[in-house]
Amino acid sequence: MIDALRLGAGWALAWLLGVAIVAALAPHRLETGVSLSARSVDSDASVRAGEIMWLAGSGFLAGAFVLTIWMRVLSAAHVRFSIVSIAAPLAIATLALLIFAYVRRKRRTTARELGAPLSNPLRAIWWALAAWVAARFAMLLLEVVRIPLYPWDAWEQWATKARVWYEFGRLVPFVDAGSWFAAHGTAWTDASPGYPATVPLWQVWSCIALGRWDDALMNLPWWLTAVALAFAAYGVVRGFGASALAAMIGAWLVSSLPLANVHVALAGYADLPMAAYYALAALASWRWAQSRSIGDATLALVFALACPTIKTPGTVWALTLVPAVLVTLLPRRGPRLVGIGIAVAAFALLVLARIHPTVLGYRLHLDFAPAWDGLADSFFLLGNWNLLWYAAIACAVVMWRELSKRPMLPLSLTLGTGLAFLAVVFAFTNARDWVSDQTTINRAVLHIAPLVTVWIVLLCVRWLDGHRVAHAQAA
Amino acid sequence: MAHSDLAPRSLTIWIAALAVTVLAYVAVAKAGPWYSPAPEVRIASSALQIARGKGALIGDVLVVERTADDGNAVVSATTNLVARDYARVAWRLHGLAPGTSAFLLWNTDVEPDRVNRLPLAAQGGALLPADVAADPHWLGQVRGIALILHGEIERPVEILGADAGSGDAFATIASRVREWVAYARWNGSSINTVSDGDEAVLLPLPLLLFAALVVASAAIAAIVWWRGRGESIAPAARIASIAPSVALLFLASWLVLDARWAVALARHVHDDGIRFAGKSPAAKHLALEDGALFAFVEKARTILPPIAADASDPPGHPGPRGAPAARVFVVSDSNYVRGRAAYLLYPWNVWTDRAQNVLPPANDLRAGDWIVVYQRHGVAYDAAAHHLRWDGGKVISADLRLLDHGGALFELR
Repeated sequence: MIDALRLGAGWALAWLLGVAIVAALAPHRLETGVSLSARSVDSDASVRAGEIMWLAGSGFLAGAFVLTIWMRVLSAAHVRFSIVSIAAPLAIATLALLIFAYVRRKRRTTARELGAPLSNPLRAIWWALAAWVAARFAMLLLEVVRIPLYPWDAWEQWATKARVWYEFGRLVPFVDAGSWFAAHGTAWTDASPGYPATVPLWQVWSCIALGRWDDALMNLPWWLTAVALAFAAYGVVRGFGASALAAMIGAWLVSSLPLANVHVALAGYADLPMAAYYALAALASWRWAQSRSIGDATLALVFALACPTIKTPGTVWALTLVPAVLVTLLPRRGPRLVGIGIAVAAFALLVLARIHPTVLGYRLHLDFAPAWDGLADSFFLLGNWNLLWYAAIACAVVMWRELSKRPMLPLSLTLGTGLAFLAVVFAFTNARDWVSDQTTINRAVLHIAPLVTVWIVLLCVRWLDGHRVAHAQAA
Repeated sequence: MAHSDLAPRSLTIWIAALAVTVLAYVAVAKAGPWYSPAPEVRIASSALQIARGKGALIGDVLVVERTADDGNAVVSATTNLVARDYARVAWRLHGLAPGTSAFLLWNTDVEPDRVNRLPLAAQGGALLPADVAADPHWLGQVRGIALILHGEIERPVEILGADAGSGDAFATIASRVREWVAYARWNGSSINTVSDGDEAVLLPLPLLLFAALVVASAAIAAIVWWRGRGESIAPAARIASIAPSVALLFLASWLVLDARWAVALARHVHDDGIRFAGKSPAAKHLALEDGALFAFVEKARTILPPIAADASDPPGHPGPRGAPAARVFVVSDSNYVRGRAAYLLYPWNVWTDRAQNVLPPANDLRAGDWIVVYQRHGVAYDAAAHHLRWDGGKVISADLRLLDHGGALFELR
């Protein structure tokens, strides 16, 4: 019970800090009430209802990231990690930001009614789905707090750092094996000493909050990340002007991806956090493309900056946001620039046919030989994604007009760039070996899967809405 | 267009489409007749014998550890099958390495001196069933069947038993359903892949549901076209009119897959509750498969010099008052053990070669270093002379500080 209170309080602080940050950034759009959707029906109510869930979802991820930034600052300043050194300044900052957000909101906005009303049968479906999602998260919570650190890389390259940093109260250096011998005991080593620190720092904070090392309970943030992702998905869809039921369907689909669930139950890998931060970075960018608010832009930037601190490929994931930003900033020249970029990338692939560079450990020699069987198994036959990729292809084919114009264009561009990144890695490099044995392929696809899920829901909402309006006008 | 009544009826159409799809599949996939009264024969692992190679019956599983010198392992069972009633034979096993080939052997009373052989296809570490009805030597009374594994067995192959079935429509459907709802505890590959139920699935459930969705969508489109055949309606409007129904069916299909996954998750929660609930962190580790390793490392941790981190230490010099923390080298024949033991030994300053089974370079060792040896061949210790030597290399002075659970802890002099 005490454990639950300590751990809960520790992460509640991080969550509240993030909510305060997002709330402090948000007032401009709340004030204007600009709908992200082209629809006007229920726009105010939808935007308001969506904002609360977006605030909760994006708030956790923002807070969890800022927490680790603060821990890095403490370590750099030679201040030992402790509840006081970490929590006290963050609690003060949270309070100040909440007051700031409250004052601005009170001055500039008026309370609005929550949500568009649903009919009784639809409301019953909404509650049934909510209960279904809640039951899943209850099961995942039991798993994450019970199972000691289990999956391979979690104890080879992530929690190794957490254990040492927790015991020493700061970020002691991890180096490769060669440097380790030369360091004569002043540096540590593990399977991947150069991997980023954010995820191990989450585990360190869990243990500091608990007051002891516990390699099951320290993984609570993985569960919180999944919950936050579902909240954010709900918020984005609702904020787009969709009904509460459509938003709940979006949250359900995002929270029910089996491989994402496994990464909660068997927590310790950085792939689920990578997926969550990338999804939030893309969605915040997309919201900015519609609202042009400084708040959304700042949030998108924060999440994009977080990506490389989660996993090394996070740098590339963050760069996949660039085409969407270009098209948003330069509505006329942007598409042409993106087109030129695609041409340059294609040319680069051809050049790589002649040279043999190695980047991020991947041999980038053009050797087009995708492992089609492995890819088909992963995307369409195994139980990793339910029907996600069938739906993605069907939507892209049927709704291609909608996805290639605003407001969906920036998000579609981000997804297209992200999928192109995966395609190049797994079709042209030695990473294809991991397709055949179904290892890294699925974890790499996990990085983009939640975003694809939300994109499908948004696209369907937009497409159905457009046809409904057209049908009504024709009638 | 009067399509507003389609959405509620679409679920009925979908169920019908699912039935049609399943029937079409069974018509193609069944190995025997549509109906056969012959009961399925299930051979338990306890009824199997290892005729060649090395292995043992552990609980309900026959574990094959090694092949014989000729590179083969053979597992056999005595049977009394009427060949014409049984069209399909399946070996239930997992853990088969990609390079290992497998064959089904059988012997009949019609050709008592002949041992028949059929190659078996593998999928994801398991074997696919063999359709034997078409084989000209599947005759008379089948007196025995066997499984031959050829090639290097990298990890133990776990055989749960063998089944012989009629391969009729009901058996085919029952087999698929059994595959879809198969359950396996969390294992090393769980983090990489969510298998579609069993390791070897002949018809993945997502594919079946998608096929049924396509059939149902086509049926709905046909209904819409039929009802509006006298009207001039744009194709886009027709697509839009069936879209809500198709979306509903898509969600229903997703729900089926999600329900299956939720049941599997609930079983994991149940199993892990029995295994871990209410236990201390140490007790949880002892309940894992590598509990013996954890127990050894826990003892070693009480012997290793204590680490007292001090806030006054400069960065890069953790340990008591700037003294470097003890360096601990971990060696083992097992890649898993090296990495896992290293993790359990942190925050001591651990080194292990995760990729290769090698010991640290003797020249890089110094007095005050520690070596953990766990299930590693080629390490010799002379207790009288306090000499430690590995792989016939340089001799190093060391004290044995712990010998327990197949592991040893040495402190270098």
